[in-house]
Amino acid sequence: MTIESPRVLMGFLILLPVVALQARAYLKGRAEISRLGPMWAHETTMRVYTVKWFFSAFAYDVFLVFAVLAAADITWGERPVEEDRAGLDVVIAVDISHSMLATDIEPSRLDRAIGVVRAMTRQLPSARMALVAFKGAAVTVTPLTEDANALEVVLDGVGPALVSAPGTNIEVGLNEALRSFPEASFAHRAIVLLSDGEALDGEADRPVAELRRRGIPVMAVLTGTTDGSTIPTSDGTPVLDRDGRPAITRADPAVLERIAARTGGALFDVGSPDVVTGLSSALSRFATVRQREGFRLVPRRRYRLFLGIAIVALLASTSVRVVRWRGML
Amino acid sequence: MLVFDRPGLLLLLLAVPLLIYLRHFWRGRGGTLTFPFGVWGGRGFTPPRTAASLLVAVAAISFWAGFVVLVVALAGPQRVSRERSYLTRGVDIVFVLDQSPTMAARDFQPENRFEAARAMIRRFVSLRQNDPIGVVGFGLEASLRVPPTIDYEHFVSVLDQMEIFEMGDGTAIGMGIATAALHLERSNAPRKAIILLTDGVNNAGEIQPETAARAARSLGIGLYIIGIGSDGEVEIEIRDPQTGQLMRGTIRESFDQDAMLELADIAGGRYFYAGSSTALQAAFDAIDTVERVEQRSLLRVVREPLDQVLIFWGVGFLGVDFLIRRLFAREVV
Repeated sequence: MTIESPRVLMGFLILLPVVALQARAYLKGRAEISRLGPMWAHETTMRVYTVKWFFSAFAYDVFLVFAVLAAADITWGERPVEEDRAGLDVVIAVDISHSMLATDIEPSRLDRAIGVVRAMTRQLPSARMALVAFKGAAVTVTPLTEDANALEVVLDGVGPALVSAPGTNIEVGLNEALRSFPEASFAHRAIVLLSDGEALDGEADRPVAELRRRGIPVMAVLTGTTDGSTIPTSDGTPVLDRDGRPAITRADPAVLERIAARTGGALFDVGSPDVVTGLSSALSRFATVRQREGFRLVPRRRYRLFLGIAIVALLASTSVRVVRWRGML
Repeated sequence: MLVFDRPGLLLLLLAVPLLIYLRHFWRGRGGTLTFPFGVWGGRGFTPPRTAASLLVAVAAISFWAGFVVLVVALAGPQRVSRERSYLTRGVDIVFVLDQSPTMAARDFQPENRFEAARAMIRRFVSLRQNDPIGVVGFGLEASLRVPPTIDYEHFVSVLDQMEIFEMGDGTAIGMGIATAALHLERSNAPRKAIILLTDGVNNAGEIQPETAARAARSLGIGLYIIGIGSDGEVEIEIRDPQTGQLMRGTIRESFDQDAMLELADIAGGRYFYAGSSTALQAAFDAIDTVERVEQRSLLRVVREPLDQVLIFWGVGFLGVDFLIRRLFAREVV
């Protein structure tokens, strides 16, 4: 089971004020029945009121819970959809935040990432490639092209200065990568994400649902170590944190692993000697298998089940008030 | 276009009038008091219209709007669009655009030569669908600005950022053609073409235009040359990108048509003279007609589910109803 929009589950917080307002209404209702209700049937009236209130409030809360679950887009199981494509389009999204200048991987995380891209483009000569660089914002450095020369040239200029917005936002990187696939393309599509996973802004999981829907896997390359290192500045001294101590940046594989797993991609470690071979063969295999099978599996959405329960609960909550309860208790 | 995954579920909406009747108008519903005015022949009374009664009405409308929206979401609404994918390879085209200062001459009133050329390239691109298009800018030097791509949005955004004078004061036509040819070299497109737009004579760069034209021909690349600008005296207005200084004046400078014709001949291409907007458009139309290949395409249906947005709206409407009833109408059940 997968929750495609996990952030929507924050909607459960609505239950707190709703339950508080329901409890307040109940207490007020009891007080008013005590004041206005018939003295000869005080207990019966109070009992009917309590039961009505309970069922009405409970059904309404059930409605809210299931409406939030429906909006969270829960999926389980898979169904095949036709995928009639040939060839391979790859958008390479490179993290160019300052943490990528860390030297826990020699000569630096960014240089190693660019080296991987350079080697990968040579191993996949028939693929069209685009290059997206991201930091706090993202920019398409090279649009999707067969022109390997163009990609080769621009790789030399890839660095933190390409984008002025500070931070690390994998979400904008993935969104820009998604935008870089032209509609007219007939090829299979994949994204190669090179990052240390240290996402400071944005919600990296947000574009994942769209990527899953379109059948675009993300091959993530972890560029850095979990032990981390300092980030050298242009004069060689390390970047300092707020306390004046050298800031340590550590690679976070969890984010990249999650994105890769949920989109049907794979995670690679830039420190591994066969990272380029593994990455290239994973991309080739992906295109070959898809082309041979002619279909892909997409998650089966189950929102209708939850929404159906929510609507029934809403009607039940309303019916409790509409139905006369006289003589039933 | 809007379609539904399970349109049958929309039949549930037929129950809405009955539910509205039961909740708001049925005399036997709970929460009502009945007065026997009829026995006395009286007309009873109607509650006065107050702000509270208006709010209750708003709450009721919100409730049913929310309910309807949720039922619609249950039916699986989807926005359907068609996406055209091309099964065949288009023509690779690279524009080689002169960015020398003389391109600021205003003989395409109200535009200058550069703006007129740029507008025409934009129009040309808008008529293409699967042809990778790139652009090389040249002045004193030449540089690839966009490699051949079908991402036309990116192409146009870079084209719009290009400025006169940014490649220096000079006209390196040979370098421009050579750069374009280099980036078309490995292309396996059925046809490849370079479209050169210039208003001057080659006076810079290490590669002679004739050499570049021969190289293009040997690589199977077609060369179209469009000579822009009129022969007479023309106003010019240009801002120096280094100093920001605005310079105005008149020029009487033209390109060497014979050299252009010879260049087109060497490359086995064609030369067009574009002294006016109409002539420029005619040149582009001629190239557009020639540089076409038969293309096979596939139409895909793309479905974008809308249920999540509708669930948010539905819950929002119902929230308005809940808040009004609890906070303003002071309902206790």
